Amino acid sequence: MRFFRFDDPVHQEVAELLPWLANDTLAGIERARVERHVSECIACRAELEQLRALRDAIAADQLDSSSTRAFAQLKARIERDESRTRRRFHALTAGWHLSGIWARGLLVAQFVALVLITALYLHRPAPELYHTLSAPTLAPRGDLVVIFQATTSEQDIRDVLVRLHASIVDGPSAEGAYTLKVREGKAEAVLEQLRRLPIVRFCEPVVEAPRTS
Amino acid sequence: MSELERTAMRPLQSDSRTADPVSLDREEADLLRQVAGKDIAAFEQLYRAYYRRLNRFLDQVTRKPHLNDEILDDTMMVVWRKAPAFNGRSRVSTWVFAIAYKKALKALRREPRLQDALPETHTDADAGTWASGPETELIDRESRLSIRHLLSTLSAEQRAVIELTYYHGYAYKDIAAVVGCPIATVKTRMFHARRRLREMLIAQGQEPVENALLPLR
Repeated sequence: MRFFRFDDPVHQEVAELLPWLANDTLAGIERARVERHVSECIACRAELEQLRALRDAIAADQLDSSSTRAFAQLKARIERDESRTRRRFHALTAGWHLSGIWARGLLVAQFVALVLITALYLHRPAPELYHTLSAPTLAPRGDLVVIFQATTSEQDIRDVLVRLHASIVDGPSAEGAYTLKVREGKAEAVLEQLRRLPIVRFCEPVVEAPRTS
Repeated sequence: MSELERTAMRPLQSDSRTADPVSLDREEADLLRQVAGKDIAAFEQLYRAYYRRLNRFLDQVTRKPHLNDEILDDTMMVVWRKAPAFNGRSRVSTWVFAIAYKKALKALRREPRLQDALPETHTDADAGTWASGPETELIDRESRLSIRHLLSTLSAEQRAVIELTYYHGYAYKDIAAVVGCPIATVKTRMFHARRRLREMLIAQGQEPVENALLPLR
């Protein structure tokens, strides 16, 4: 038996666990380690005795109570609670039975409508996430999309369009693309002529985009 | 007579020191399964087995007798309703006490002005060195100082740890499950509770003896 320094880590660890040695809940290696230290440490041994006395003193602090009346009250509360739940359930089911065929029919119709709306919503086409130069938003009414060289003057563009009987119906877009409308049945011929011009960088027919809605 | 009945009939004292904990756990788990099937007789048996333990626990934790009946009822209502959800991974008693503890703290929070629980401002860093515990002085002076009064100077959280350890005989890991905190926190609460008791003794003029290492008796 000896004194340990109070800042000895083993002493501190064991001292922390003494309440659970006192209540006999330590087990295994931990219990063995604590008991070994207690057998050597005067302070811990003294403390353990006092902790056991404290445990007995706390246990002796009696509280007079009887469960009989208390349970009767709780049972009444449970019955009230369950009765309320049953009444709610019955009110719901009774409401269903008494509401008449028209009301029930209306409810079913609402349900069917809701299902249809949901189905339509779920099957709608996905929105387009990008646009091509020939997309309908760029050329809703045109025949050709053309991009001229950047150095081409407005006068030169106008001369070409007059010569080919084409008119601008949209553009220029951010990319410098014009949408042209040409005479009926002449789109292919105008396309060929435009492609041969050195001032034309790009020319393609407008492709009818698939309907999105 | 079953362990459960013995526990229910036993005068207020720690059940873990006198009951076979394995048999008790098994009986309680069986009973709770019946409660899950809405067996009111089984529920009454479980209620009676727990009434005194819970009443005692709540009395120590809240120190508000006027709250305890309602907390106990609320706790057992949860047991009645949630019994089917009990997963068996913990002891039934740990589960029930954890419900009661949460209900008790909630009730105390509802009346903050009346709450006598001291806020836990201590941290692990406060932990000093261990000389002798406050119990060294406490026990020999218990004739003059009421243990109940001394415990009332602790926070509700500290009293819960003291009560679950010394009266209900819980291991620290079970206490951690009941109060819903890490084991280290349980140990820290116990440490501060003991230190607080020592401070109270000093404040009441009960200076620690010169050589506090020696037993007083």
